[in-house]
Amino acid sequence: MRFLHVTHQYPPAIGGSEKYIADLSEALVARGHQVDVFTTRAKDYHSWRAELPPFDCQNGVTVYRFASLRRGPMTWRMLHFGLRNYWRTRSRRYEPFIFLGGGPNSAGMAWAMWRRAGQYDLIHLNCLVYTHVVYGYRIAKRLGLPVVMTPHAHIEQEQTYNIGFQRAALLGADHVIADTTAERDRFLELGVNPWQVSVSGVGLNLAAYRHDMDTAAARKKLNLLPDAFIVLFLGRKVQYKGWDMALEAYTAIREQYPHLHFLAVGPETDDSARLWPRYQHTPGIHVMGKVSEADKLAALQACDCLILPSAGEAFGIVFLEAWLMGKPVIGLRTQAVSSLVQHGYDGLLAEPGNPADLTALLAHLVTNPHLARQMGRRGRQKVLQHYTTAHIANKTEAIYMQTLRRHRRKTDS
Amino acid sequence: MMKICVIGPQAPTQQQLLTMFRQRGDDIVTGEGESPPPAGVYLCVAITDAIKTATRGVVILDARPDFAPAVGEGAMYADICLVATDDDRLRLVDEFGCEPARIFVAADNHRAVEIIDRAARDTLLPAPALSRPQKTESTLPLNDAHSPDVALAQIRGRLRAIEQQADVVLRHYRVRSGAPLVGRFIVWLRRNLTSHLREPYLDPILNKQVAFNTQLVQELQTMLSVQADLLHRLEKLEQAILPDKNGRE
Repeated sequence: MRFLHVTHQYPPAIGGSEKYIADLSEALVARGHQVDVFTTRAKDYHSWRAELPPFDCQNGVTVYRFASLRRGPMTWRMLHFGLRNYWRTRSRRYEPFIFLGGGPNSAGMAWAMWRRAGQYDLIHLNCLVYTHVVYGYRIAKRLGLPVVMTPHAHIEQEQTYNIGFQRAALLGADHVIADTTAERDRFLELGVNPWQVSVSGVGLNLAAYRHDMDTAAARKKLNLLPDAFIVLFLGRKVQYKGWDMALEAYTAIREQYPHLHFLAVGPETDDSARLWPRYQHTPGIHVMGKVSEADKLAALQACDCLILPSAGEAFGIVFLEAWLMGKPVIGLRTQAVSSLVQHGYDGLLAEPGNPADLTALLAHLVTNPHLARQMGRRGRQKVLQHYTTAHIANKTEAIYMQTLRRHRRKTDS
Repeated sequence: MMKICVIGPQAPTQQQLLTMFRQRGDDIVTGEGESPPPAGVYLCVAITDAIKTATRGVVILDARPDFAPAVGEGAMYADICLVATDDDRLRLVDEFGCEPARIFVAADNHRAVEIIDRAARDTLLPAPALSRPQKTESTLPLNDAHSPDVALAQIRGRLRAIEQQADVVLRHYRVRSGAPLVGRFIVWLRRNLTSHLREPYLDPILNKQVAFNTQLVQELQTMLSVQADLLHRLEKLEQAILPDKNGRE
C-alpha cells in the first residue's frame, strides 16, 4: 500500500514526534509498504529556517522537504497576540493569527499535496499543534482520502490541540492515534467518535539501543565516580521540563547523601544559562550539553535513576529509554505521564508544583537502591512488551487497514 | 441480508454460528488466502493473511474456541474480536496491546450473532472498559513529602544556593586588551576612564549590597533554625497529645 506521512519536521531534526514518524515510516517500509514523507526543510521550529536538503531518502523512506515562511519576532508576536485573545474571547477572528504565527506555512507543501496526494491510499498527519495538519487535513478531505492523525497533544496545554481549526481537523479525521489513555479520554470529551480513536504510544527501535557497555564502563567513559548514586536529567534544559525543580530536589538532599551525583544531559537554553550560576558551587553536578547518541546511551547506562519532572510531556519517550536500560524513573503526576508510569511499580510520580514531594521521592530511591533496580526491571519489561517500534508499527498498520475499510464502507454506501 | 465470508477451518461452535446465520437467510461463502471473495463481513476463525490485507468489509476474528498466543498478534488487525471469557480479553489487552473497545466477550452464539449484526450495520457500541485490580506494588512505604524534615531540607538547600550567590561583585574581573603594542595603554585608559564612576560610586554600592545579602542569608538561616526547632517541638507535642486524644475519643 502507499502511505503519505505529513509532518512538521523529520530527522535529522531532533524531537520525540520526529523520531516517532521516522521510526514508523521505516518500519512500514520494511513491511513492504511505500511510504513517502512531506515535511519542511527546517531543523528548528522556532524559526522554520530552511536548512535541510529538499529531497532525501532514509532507509527506504522518500522524504520531500519544502521551504516554509520564516518565523521571526513579528510572527511570534502575532502568535502570542492570537493566543492571548483567543483564550479570552474564544472568537474565531483570532484563529488566523495563531495559524500564521504558528506555522509551518508552506505553500510548496500544500501545493505538492494537492497535486500528488491523490496517488496514496491514506494520509497520516503528525503533530496537531502545527498548521501543516490543518491544510493537510483540508486537502486530504477535498481529495476524498482517509486521514489518520497522531496529534501528540500536551493535554495540560489546551493551545496544542483545542484551537477551532485544530479541533475541526481532530473531529474530522478518520482515525486519531493517541499517545496515552489520558489523551484518548480528552479526545473523547471533545467529541471524537470512540471507534475512531486508539491508543498507541511511541516505540523504541531496539537496534538503536544495542550496546556492549556495562554501568562501570559507561561511568568511566563519562568520568563519573564508580560507586556514586547518579541521578540523570535528560532533555532540553528548559523550564517546563522541570530542570530547575530537579536541581532543587538534588541540592536539598545532597548534604545528607554525599554519594549522590547529578548528571544533566541535553542542549543548554537561556533558562539553563540563567540558572547555572546559582548551582555553580553545588558539588556533584556534572553537565553535558547536546550529546551524540552513543554518549546519550552511556549516560542512560551510567545512571541509577532518571528524573524528568516535566509539566508538558505528550508522552515522554525518555522514560522508555531509561526503562530499556533497566533504570527507574521519577516524573510528575501529570495526566500523560500518569498514563505511562505506574507509581510505585515501575517509577515514582511527584505532585506537580511540589518540590518537597520530588525531593522525598528522590531520597526514597537513594536510600532504597534495590527498589530502584526492581522498578527499572519492571519498566524494561513494559517497554519490551508494549513500546517497541515493531509493536507500534503493528498497531499503526492495523489502524491503517481498519481506517481504509471503514472509509471504503462509507464511500461504497 | 448480509454476505458473510468465512475464512479458516471452523470449530463446532462456529459451525453452529454459521447455521444460525443461514437460518436467518444470510449468504455464507468461504474464502482462503490473501484475496477472499467480496463480502460485507469477513469472519476469520483463525489467524490468516486476510486479517492483515482485507481492505473492504468488516473483519471479525472469532477467537472463542481456541485462544492461542498467535491470536493476539492478529487480533489487533481485526475490526472486532470475539473471545469467550473476560480473562482472554484481559490477555489480549495486557499482553498484546489490543484496543479493549474492540474486544467483545460472547459467551454464546446468540450474543455473537448480535455483535456481528451490529458491527455490520455500524451500530455497535464500543466494548465496556476493562475492570482489573491495580498493580500498585509499592513495596516500601514512601516518605511523607510534607514532613518538616523534608520541607526544611528543601529550604536549607535553597538557602545554600542563595548564600553562594550573595557576593555579587565580579572580583576576578580584570580589564584586558588583546591589541598588540597598544594593549597596555588601552587597559590603562579604560581603567582610568571608568575609575571616577567605580571608586566613589559603584564599588561602595556593590559592597553595601554584598554585606546586605550576606546578612540577610544569615538572618534567614537563623530564622530557619528557630523554625526547625519549633517544628520539632510541635511534632513532639503532637505525638504526646495524639494517643491521649484518640483514647478519649
